[in-house]
Amino acid sequence: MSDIIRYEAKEKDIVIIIDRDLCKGCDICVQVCKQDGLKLVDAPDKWEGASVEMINPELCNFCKLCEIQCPDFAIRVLRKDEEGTITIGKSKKTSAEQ
Amino acid sequence: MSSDRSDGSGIVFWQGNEVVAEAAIAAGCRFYAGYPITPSSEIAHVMAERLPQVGGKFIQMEDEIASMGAIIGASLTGVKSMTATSGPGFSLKMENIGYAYMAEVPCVIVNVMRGGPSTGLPTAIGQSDVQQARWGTHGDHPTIALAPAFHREIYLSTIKAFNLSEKYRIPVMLMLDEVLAHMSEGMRVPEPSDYHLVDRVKPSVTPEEYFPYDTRFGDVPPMASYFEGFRFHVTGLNHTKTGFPTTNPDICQSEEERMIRKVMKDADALAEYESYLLDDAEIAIYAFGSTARGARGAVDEARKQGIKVGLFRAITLWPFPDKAIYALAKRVKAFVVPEVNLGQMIQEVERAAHRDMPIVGVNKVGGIPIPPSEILSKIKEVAKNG
Amino acid sequence: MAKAAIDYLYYLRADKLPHMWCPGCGIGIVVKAMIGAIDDLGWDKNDIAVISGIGCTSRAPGYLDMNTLHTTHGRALTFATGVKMAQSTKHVIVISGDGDATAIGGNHFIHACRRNIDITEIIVNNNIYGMTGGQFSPTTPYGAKAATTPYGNIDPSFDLVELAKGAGATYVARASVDNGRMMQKLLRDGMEHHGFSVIEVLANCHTQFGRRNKMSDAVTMIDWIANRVVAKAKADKMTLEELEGKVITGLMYQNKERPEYTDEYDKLIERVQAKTSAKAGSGK
Repeated sequence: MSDIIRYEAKEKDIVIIIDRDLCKGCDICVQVCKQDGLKLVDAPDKWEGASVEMINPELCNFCKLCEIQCPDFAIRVLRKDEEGTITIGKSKKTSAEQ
Repeated sequence: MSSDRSDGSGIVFWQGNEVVAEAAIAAGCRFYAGYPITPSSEIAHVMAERLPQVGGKFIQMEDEIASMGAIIGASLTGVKSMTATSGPGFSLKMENIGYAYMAEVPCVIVNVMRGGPSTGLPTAIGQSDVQQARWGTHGDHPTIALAPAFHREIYLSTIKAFNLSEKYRIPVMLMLDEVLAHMSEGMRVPEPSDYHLVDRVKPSVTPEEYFPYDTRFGDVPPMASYFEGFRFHVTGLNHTKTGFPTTNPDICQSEEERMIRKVMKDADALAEYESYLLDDAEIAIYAFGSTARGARGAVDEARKQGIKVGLFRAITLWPFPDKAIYALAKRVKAFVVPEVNLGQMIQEVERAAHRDMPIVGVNKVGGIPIPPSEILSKIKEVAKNG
Repeated sequence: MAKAAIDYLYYLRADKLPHMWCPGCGIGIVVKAMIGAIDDLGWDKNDIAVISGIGCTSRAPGYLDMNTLHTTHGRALTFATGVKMAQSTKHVIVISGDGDATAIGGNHFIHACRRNIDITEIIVNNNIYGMTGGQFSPTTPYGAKAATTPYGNIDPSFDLVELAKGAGATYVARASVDNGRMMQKLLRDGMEHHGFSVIEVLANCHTQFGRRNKMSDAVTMIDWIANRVVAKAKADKMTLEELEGKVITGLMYQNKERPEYTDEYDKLIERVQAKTSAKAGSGK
């Protein structure tokens, strides 16, 4: 099973998905987030030893910089209704068209 | 026939290089990439003229390396492709020739041999790239190299080169020499009924079930083309059946063995040769290419003088006809091996003969063909000492 | 209405992930921008060939669920030229590193530019040979340390934009990994451009370049890039003194007039065949 963390900013209709299988803890997303919404945490279960988490999803302003700048396809920032239209997780297809 | 360069009589008087180009078109070659080099350039000249006539494409690339890369790329899209070169250009192509072996991409490489090493004798005959054809690229691989000796045979060997490359998914070498390439001789152009054409086996499975190196169907995996929905990966790295890199020692070992086996299991059938007056021969000549023409003259002359000599004319250089030479070595007392180099194929004759017997070369590297008289002298010398 | 979310994994061979690149490696950002550009253009992944040479960047095709070809060092454009000549209606993208594209592949690069063949070449310029252990490349800055410049680099470096322009490329742009959005736009336009397109992407190799030059993590090195780049529109209003030490990003050159190579060849075929059939029709 994919190691996915799902955050929801209910008021803002935003879903943030972090795929821990893909995150390498490089810190880029943490630095680009102007809202200081992300942080690196120790991840002893991962080879890189670190992984990203959200401090508070409600801080998200949907700028998508973290998603765009993530080299590892590990973070997605979506509207709630987009969630079902894309593939999430390493090899699990959830898209309706597939 | 209206668009080819014959006059309609069916008889042509072409250079060897022109024969190669016309035969390639007949074989279904629709992409050619090359770089100017003597003495192979006329092949490019004719391909540049003929390919657009049949809807094919010609490109003069920036160098030899690029030409080799381009034909591999075109072949991966399902188009039969060829390049032609000579000595130094052959060396430059070697890395990408190795890629074609590893990625199992069909293509034909013509090498019109000239004198050398290095720039050597660009306008003169050589037969000194024959071991390079076998071992020029790094790593282990099988080799198919053909060396026809007269124009109709050049035509049919060119078609055969395409057929074998398609059949085995490997680059095939067509080894001409400067004399054959620039000599014109009358020839009846083979009709399509004189030969058959082979196309690579395409996958019979769906894209989901397809692997580019799937050996379920034999040692030569069916080959999809790009843009047909198969979306496969090709690399020069050692790879699994999926086409993706691996360093697994067992897979590397078994795949490299398979790539050699796919050709070498048919080595005997592939090793084409012509026997001339060998039945009662006490001396056998091993020769190929234009040298074999002179050798035949020497055999005829020696026979007139009462010497029992015959000619083993190799049409396939590689795979080497090990079994045929071994069998012949049991029957004859000596071999004479004339070649326009300082002793390359003679090493194979010695190896395959596997017998303590006189095996002598006639070797010329001065840029001239070996005169039949010199081959005759050697035959007589061997006959006297035998 | 905002565009629908890009289904990155649809374009990727998801079972090959996570990819092999170091944490924070800019190549991943480039691959993402490539996918974004392709998605924006609505290209069918069956119609795309992605071709590379050797090096870290050249591993990119393996992750893309397209027709992919990982060739020999420096030779990607030669294979790509064969693919494009044989199937001129398909999309051909080459992705190379700086050493691959401009040192060992330099000759192929200038000639692909000269032909103006409709191939998009993305050069991920991280100023170093990463995979082979951090040797200097033709784009390593003067004075920088590399495995083979332990006393500082004395080799002058290429300006890839000027090189591509001079050699005849008809779409030339420079992007940088600190700005994935701008990169995606430039890649998109380059892919759409009918002719030879070159997009240089300034990228970080903190592992091999940064480590030897006091920038050993991704964020520090991407910041270094971000501080050096100036977008073209802004740069146009700056003085030469202000531009000292800066690198301009954006669309640097485009020429939509020059004929594309495979179009020219198709016209040639038409011409030759018309002549041949006229000759056949007139009898002998």
